[in-house]
Amino acid sequence: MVFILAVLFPFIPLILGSISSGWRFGEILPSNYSIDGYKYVLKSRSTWVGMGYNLSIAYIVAVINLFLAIPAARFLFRKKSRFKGIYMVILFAPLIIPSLSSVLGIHHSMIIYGLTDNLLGVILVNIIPSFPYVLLSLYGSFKGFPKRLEESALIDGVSKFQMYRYIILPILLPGILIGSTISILISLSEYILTLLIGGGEIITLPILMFPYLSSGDKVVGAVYAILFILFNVVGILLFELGIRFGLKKITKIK
Amino acid sequence: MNGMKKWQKLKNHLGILPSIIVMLLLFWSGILKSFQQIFDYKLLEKVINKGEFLNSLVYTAKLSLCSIILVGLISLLGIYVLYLLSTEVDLIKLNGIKMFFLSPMYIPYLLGGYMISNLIGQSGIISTLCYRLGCIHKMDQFPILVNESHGYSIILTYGWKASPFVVLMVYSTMIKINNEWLDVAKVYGVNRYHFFKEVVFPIIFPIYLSSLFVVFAHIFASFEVPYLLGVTYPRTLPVLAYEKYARNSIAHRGEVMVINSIIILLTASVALIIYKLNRSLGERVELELEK
Repeated sequence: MVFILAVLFPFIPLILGSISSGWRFGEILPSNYSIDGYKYVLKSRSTWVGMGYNLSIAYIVAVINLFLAIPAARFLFRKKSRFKGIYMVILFAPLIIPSLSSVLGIHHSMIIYGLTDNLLGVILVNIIPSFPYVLLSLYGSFKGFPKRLEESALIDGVSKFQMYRYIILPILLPGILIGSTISILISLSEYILTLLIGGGEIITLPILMFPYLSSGDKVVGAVYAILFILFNVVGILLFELGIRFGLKKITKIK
Repeated sequence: MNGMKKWQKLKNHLGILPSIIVMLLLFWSGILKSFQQIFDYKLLEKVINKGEFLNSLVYTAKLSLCSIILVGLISLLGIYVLYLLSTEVDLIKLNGIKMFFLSPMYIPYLLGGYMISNLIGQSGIISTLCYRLGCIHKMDQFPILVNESHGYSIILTYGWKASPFVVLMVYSTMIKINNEWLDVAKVYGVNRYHFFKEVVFPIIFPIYLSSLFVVFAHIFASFEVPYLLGVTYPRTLPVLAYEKYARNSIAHRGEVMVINSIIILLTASVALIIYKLNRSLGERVELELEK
């Protein structure tokens, strides 16, 4: 019970703060309530632009990650290769080594190739921190996947494409859902990489709310925080629904 | 024939090649670019001789160490509570409780930092409570815990945000431990605390330790929380690198790259420790569980 309170405790002032007006020091509960904070945030155009950018970056990155990670996880799990150790190091390194360090390194080249201040560059750098997690969750879900299933399908003469479509994708569904959820969570809250590469042209919610959070603005900061948490939940649920629906269409499984 | 074989080999690798190419281009090229400068001895000397850098290094190390000590304590408490519950409630209930324990993981670091600053700031909740209880009479009697040079708020944020990760990592090993062992132990008059200390803890210790190292590397290299809750001096290494870069990217580029490569080297060596720990101790766990 104490633990439950300890975990939930920080949320209560957020909700109270977002609907207060002039919450003075020394008051346990704010004495005046208003929804001006919500009005201010929801009326500003940049909030909606930011949410649009945020969501499109996160979704595109998640889809790219899945396309890259499914064959890669299958290779790492199934095939034998001398270089497997090196591949693992190459692919999993961003779990520990900070992506900011790497992006500071390639920023110069990205400017030369025109990859800064636009959506493409931001999408590319957002792949770095999220890809290893997607690979990890897919790798995990290969564990309960018997190789014989693939082999017998190949003997029956299915093509590679058909094997992915009818056998691998349906079995990997849990891994795909977990992986894309993590990917979206990471990209939605990415602040510094998007700021650095987006150069102020690409605005996302974390970039919008940062000034309010750091100044400790109780009303607008709290509104943004609540909006962002809801946005995360809705964004993930929508994507999961989309994936389930899409996979149903592709794999024709009821 | 030879060409055929080579093609076959390449075809085998078709699955992994795209991701390897993407990671090499996006991630590793940046790492190598950073490393180009570290061999420039003069630049390295210049960076190290500046007090700013060493101060940041010490500060970052101190913050990360304090944070993982706090994370270690909180997560151990969490694990112990989960263990006690696992001997009482059924698996479905336990999973629900576990999900609840893990909830801070789903909150972005930025918001986590903001919530903590709302909690322990001078006009925050604890301060208000103290005022109401009569411990303090004015707002500025409450100690400054946010945006100050010791980084209390940063440590607390990590303690709250990173502990669930350790709990999650340990939990998956812990549920493999057979509950029947406890029944046997009970016959010999061992209570649950002793069973945890003597049997459960040694088994989960390797994974506990290596996830603490993961957290350490993560905190050492993290940017958002110290940027939000820290002060302008001392700054953590990643914040120092970024601010130098953002202020004047051309003039400071060399220096930034040197700082960068030092961060990379340090985190990479932590990664090596984790790998070794997982290998040697992980095997022992497997053996012990099979016995």
